[in-house]
Amino acid sequence: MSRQKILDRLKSYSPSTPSKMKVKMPGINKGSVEVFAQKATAAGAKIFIVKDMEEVKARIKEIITDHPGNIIYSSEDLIKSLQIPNLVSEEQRESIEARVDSVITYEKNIFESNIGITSCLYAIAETGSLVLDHSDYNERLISLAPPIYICIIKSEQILENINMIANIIEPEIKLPSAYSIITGITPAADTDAQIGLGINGPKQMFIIVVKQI
Amino acid sequence: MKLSPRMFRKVAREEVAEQEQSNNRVMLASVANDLCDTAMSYYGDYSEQDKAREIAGNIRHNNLQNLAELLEWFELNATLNGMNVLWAENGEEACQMVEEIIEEHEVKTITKGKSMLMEEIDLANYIKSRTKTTLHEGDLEGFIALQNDTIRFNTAIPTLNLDLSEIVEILNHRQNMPHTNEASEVVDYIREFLRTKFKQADMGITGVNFAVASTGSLLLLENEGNIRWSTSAPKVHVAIMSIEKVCANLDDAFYLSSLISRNCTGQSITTYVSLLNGPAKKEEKDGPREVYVIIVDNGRSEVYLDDEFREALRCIRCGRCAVKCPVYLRIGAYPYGNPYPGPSGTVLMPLLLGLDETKHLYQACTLCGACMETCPVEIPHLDFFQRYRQLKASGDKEYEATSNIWNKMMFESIAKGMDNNKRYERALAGLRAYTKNFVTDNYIEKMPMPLASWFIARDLPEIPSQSFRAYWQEEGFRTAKEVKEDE
Amino acid sequence: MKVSLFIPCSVDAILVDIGKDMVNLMTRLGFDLVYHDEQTCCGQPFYTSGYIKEAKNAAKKFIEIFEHDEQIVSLSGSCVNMVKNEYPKILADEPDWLERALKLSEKVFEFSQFMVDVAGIVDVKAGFAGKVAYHNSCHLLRALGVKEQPIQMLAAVQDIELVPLNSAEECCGFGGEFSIKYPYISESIVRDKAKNFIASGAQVLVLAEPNCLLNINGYLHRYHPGYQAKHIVSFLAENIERGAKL
Repeated sequence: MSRQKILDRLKSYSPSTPSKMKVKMPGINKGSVEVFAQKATAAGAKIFIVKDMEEVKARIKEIITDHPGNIIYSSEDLIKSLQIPNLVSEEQRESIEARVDSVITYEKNIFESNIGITSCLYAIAETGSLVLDHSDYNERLISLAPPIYICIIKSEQILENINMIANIIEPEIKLPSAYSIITGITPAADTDAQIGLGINGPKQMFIIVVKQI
Repeated sequence: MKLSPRMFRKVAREEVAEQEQSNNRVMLASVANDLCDTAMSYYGDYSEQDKAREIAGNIRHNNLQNLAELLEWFELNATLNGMNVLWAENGEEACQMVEEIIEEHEVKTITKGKSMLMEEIDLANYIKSRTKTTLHEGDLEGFIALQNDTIRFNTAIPTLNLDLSEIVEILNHRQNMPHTNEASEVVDYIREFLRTKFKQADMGITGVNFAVASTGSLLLLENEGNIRWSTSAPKVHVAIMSIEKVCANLDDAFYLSSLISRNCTGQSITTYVSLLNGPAKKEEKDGPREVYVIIVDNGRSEVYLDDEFREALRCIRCGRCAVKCPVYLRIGAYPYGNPYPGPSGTVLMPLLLGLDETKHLYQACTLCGACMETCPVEIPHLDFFQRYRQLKASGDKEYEATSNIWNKMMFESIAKGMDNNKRYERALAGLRAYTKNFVTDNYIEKMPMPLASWFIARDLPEIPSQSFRAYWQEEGFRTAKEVKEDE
Repeated sequence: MKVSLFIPCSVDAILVDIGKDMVNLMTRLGFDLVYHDEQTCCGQPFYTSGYIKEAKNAAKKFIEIFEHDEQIVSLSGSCVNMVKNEYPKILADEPDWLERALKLSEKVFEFSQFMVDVAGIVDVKAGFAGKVAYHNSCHLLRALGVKEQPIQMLAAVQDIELVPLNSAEECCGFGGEFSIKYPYISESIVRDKAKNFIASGAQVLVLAEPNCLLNINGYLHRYHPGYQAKHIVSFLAENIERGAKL
């Protein structure tokens, strides 16, 4: 059996004492909203810093009006509390299959939506990244398939750097099936910086940060 | 097309000629290097950056020291997470495993992420020739290379080597895409094309950047989103990794990932990082229902057992060494004839393919050391090349190195001539007399073999009638020996 | 100060003038020079081509000749690297020789490294009214870590204007046997070096490695006859008179 053969070969080497050098475990520090906003903007996201949920709704309404089409959103508490169907006009609401509860409607809607809306677990200031944990409350494709992606976060979710995420995830006993760390939109890959922009993911990304004062 | 480094010289010459026309690669590399340098300045000044490289090198060293243990630990945790962990001794076995998974799940369409290991084991061709499944390249470079019938290389400069009009031409020819001058229309076209494939696919195949032992997770880095699609939309995800991709914990994996993105594209982090911890839970509406991890050896455990060569497995495939390599920049990826073009592959491939097969890789090197200087995990590239040259010069069965008898005789006779200063002086006098025949205006412009090739682009000053040692003597300066005797 | 000259083969046989320039310059600066005429090759070509036995013999011979000297100075970073860093590697399995190699290793210097770090001489009182670019040779830069010293010595030259050279730290494409075995790749690399030199607007390209000099000047002589690279020793020696008059 290959497994045994490979492992037996590897085990026939007895390691010397491993080197003492280790990555320093940083503590878990909150990150700055300004740094996050600056880095996320540099990565191609558009950032709104707002002071309460009412303002979040107002921003979402603006984006929806500017970019009509189907909307799909996760069922995390924060997103539910926005009551997104109420943010669109009466006649638009008809065409919006907003939240979907069965796999069949999800599969149908995910590819036809123009806008995806989710929250996230954490954000990383140093790189301007969003950390999403995927579950039946936050599907993987909502942040990938629709051309426009909106993420709503609270400022206290922003951590300083990615190693802190490691420190949080590592001791978790039950991990979600996947995490996605998303940083802006796909940059162009050609010499003239045109081709590839947002190629398979969102072409536009909005991050609304609720900064409680 | 089967890759082979045997054609190195011929292909390199063609590529050099092309490079001279455009100078594209050298210019792109200089831009890429500036971006990476800026990204590396995150760690501080050069000595701080060196510290980061040292830490990363140590992480990799420790990973390798405890490789068997980490693999077992990963296997246990990944299995607890619900993944199927399989082991393949070689490429053939890995390909067969994929074939079996395809059959079991009645897979019709596959989307594939970039993976050098898949090129190494030639998986795409295996699937094409042995199964009825359709395989789609999910990344832009791979997609265009496929349309263009060229080979795609992953450690290349992270930019497409074609301009807009060339891409439009290819897509028009192969896919009937309407002509356009708008980049956004081309992007939309490719986006829609790939999207249809991602939606259809019932299996996604990807490589792995790191397998995290402590959590049983797979860490995958990308910019384009094709990996996220391939690991989210289809019902089956197959991840293929070589044995050395395992690392102890997430901290290590993130530390190394940061060095990959900073040295590959000059980003602080890639657009997407996927940390996959197993199949989707029952209630989830997307994500794979089955996840397979195939751990491939393909000759590496033999390399691992050699104390001298074990650290060749450190590489994290950022590709920076290639972008720094003066040879790679002139000849590009093709001549290397292996999936890991540039210095990193030149460290690994001779150990996997044998030293005769790969002789051009480690011989076509100026020993400038730029690769070694920049390597984020401190691989001592030159020590490897030096050792390969030694094995090749003396001949070695184990590593399939055959000594070149003419070369050996030549070097032995030069060494003999240099062994004693009287002999050296006579040899020099002989050379002077011989080369006199070729001198015009104090320069030699042409000479027969074995030195002929120097003169394809360079002249050489004539050998002056007075050597330095003769000058020293004729000036009446005393030699060290004479000085000593006086004392 | 007593200095033992370690003359690379290429200087002994072909680039004799650089050797003479070194003698003139260092004598003028008051150094007491000694020269072992038993010296031949440090063994680098054997070593880099994989002929380890031949390299070892050359190393032992070199050690025997030079080990009693106080300080040994050479015009080539790559030859110094061979003695300083590679000898201990190739003699690692012979403890006695290893010890002797390590002792010697501490006493071998490249010219500018010696001048600035050991002798403390940055300004040799030369003068040059013109633009000069500097090429970092690979072994000097990466194996010996000599980067600032030659620049400091050049910067001290009166009236000089140091101009930046694009890709100054990229190899010139010589690589010993590489230049013969893979001439087209080698040519393509040296062409870019020449291009960058010409584009820099410098009158002279200064470097501190005889082998790079053979390569770059070989190419310039063929395709750009008006342009020339110079070894730092020659550059300083040639311009020291003018500096003295200033």
